[in-house]
Amino acid sequence: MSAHTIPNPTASPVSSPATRFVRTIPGMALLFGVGLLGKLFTHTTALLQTRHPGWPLPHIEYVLWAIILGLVISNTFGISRIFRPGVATYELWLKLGIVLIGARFLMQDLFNIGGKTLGLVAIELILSLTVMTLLGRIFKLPPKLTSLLSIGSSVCGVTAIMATQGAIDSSEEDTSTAMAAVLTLGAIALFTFPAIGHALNMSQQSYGIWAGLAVDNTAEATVTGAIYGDVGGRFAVLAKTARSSFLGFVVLGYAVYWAAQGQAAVVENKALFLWQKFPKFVLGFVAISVLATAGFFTHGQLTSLSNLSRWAFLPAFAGVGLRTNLKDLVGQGWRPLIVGILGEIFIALVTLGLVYWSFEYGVAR
Amino acid sequence: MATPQIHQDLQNFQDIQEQIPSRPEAANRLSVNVDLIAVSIALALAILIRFNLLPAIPF
Repeated sequence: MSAHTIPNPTASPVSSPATRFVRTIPGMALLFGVGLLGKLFTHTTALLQTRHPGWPLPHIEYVLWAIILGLVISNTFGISRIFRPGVATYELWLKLGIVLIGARFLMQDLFNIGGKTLGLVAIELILSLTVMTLLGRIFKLPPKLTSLLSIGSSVCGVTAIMATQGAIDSSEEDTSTAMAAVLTLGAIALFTFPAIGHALNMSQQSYGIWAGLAVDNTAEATVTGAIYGDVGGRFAVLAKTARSSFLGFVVLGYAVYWAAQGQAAVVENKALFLWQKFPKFVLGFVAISVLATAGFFTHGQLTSLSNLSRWAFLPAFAGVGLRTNLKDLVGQGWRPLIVGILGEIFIALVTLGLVYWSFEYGVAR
Repeated sequence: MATPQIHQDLQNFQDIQEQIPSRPEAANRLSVNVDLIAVSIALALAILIRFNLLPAIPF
């Protein structure tokens, strides 16, 4: 190929939706393949345990298998370019699963448990924003990196960081460092939270709410809950969704602060800004819950919707493993990671105490 | 003989483009689109299930 036949990326024609869809097929096949393989491993292990009770086979949920398989593929073979567009669709599957799981929450659940959870979210937000800001100053991190870490750890991880990047005009370097710190801590939570939950013999409800409150990124929070159990996963989604709904307010607060410092654009229309930053999938979650409460679905149909949400989560869980590159995560400098680790340990302990106090004797589900 | 180098640069550029949205507005728009697609698919599936146009889904 001669040089002049190489397309100029800045002038390349925009690919059609059909072409873009076709490009996602290999990666989507990989997501579902890894997820199904995880399910097959769990099924096979359970079958072997039944036939050979003496064999020391650990019972590992399909969620954990999917993540482990994804991590192994990502960190040994790497993800080839052909798979990347499809692997990136894991976020779509995750949000589809979250919206569909709304069918398992009646509005009275949302008002009772969700109301209590909202109170805990408010406390968690104030504490994590304060602690992260203080730690950022103590460790002399750049102020905008501190803002990004604070928002990422208090609201909803990578999504919050991406939403804030434009609002406070932070650098690409600060953004990628904050994202790496949040993703590293999420990867650590996947394996430490379930162990702590089992050690403390936590109920599915209280564990799920704790995971939703303390784990930053939506994908990792959902997985951390689901590893503990199906109900744990549902409550992790509830708490995480409640946290995500605060996104617009927190980002607006930081945008106004940095605009007042003369280091970001002034927000002209605050109501429009809030609407633009509000995660719209939360509305879908509530809409499905309203339909379920109104008796729109039969019991069997609710079960089907719940199972559909599990099918949607399957590739999302695989995607969490596949997009986690451990080498990239640890190569971002130690100070942001130390700030993140210290802040997250503090938040995890405080939210654990709050959840124990509020939910351990709550409604058993 | 600069072709392989240019080709490698282009590959790297495309890799970076696929991994990191280069503009925050674009990333924000992408996230909103993902949300709207997810909500649309979920509502469509809910309607199909409600009117028994899909069979019972096992897991």
